Amino acid sequence: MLSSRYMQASHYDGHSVGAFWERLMDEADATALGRHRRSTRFDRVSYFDTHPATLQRARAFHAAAASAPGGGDDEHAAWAAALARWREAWLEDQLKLNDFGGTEYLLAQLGRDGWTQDLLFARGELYRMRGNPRDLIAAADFYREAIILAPDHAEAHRGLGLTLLRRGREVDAETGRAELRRYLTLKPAATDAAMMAALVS
Amino acid sequence: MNMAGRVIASATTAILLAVAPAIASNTLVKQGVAVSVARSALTVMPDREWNRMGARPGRRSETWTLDGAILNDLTFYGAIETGKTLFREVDRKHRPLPRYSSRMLLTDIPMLLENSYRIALGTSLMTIDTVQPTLLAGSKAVRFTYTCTRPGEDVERRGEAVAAIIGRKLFMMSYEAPAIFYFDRDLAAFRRLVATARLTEGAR
Repeated sequence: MLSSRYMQASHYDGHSVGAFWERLMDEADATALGRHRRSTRFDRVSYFDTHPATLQRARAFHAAAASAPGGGDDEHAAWAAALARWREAWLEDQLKLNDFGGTEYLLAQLGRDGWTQDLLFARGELYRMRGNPRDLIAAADFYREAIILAPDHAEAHRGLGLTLLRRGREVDAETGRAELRRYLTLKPAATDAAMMAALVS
Repeated sequence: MNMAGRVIASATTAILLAVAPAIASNTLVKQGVAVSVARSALTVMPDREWNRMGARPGRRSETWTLDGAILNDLTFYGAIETGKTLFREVDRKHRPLPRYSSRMLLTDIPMLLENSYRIALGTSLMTIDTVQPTLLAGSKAVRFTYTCTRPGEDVERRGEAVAAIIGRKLFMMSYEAPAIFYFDRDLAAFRRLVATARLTEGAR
């Protein structure tokens, strides 16, 4: 618990460490639920384990923080600013893990500060990738919300267009083609421009 | 070597010869003969000899190579049905692969391959570079190129694939080789092979 004592000596909020372990468990639970699996037992300790169980860690850090003077800052804004340049690439990687539940949980965590256009777009992509009929309705809504916040978000127009085309209804298809035309206007040099142009025509 | 030694040696050789085909079940694909691939209605007519690998990446796929699968890998995916994966699922519980759906658009197929690669190989170094319309066996298709690096090695690989959804099933041919030397050398052979792809009657 040396690290915990360092935390208490610093200006950071000691509860942040316990909260980190809790989020890790919650994300694993969300992944399991999304894959129709049973949740992992986070309190189980194996004979050869070198570290305490995850649940034990979360509790120990919270207990240590509770006995400390309290207060402290989690410097959330500075953390978000430092990671901003990586956020788009990380969201993209996360979407490709075929982990609907875990990704939905992470997006909801990030969306606690407000659903920004990149999170709404990522959520649209997540639902479009799963592609059940109801997912496509939800995906179209998320893309539309992203477009309200950022009207020139080319990929959101692309996603909305493809979602509407995939729904298979003629009324949607025409709107979908209009969205793809908008994508091509915004990003004429896109790597998939020729394919999108073929879909539009 | 005495008589007994010779008998043992010849018996050993005979056993090895008998076992050999089971171990190395790679077979020669002859030049100029139309051949059905990936246990499906898809046929191609190679204009050069290829080697068909005994190991298949999935139930509905097969791999051909010239110099070994890590140097040039030509994989056929034949008649993948809704709910099926592109590759054999190694760990369905923890690393489930994305599944094909006949509701997908052609533009979703590059994403299907990319996500399957990322999960099956355990790499995040996989990108789709270009996506273009084309034809495969006379049907509307998508041609896309990609770049990937397998974990634990620094070799950058380039790939090109052509995919079509015919009769609600996915047909795809992909060619992949190290970006240095091999990819450019045999890309033309792959494209010539794609041009010969046909579906036997009744498959549509």
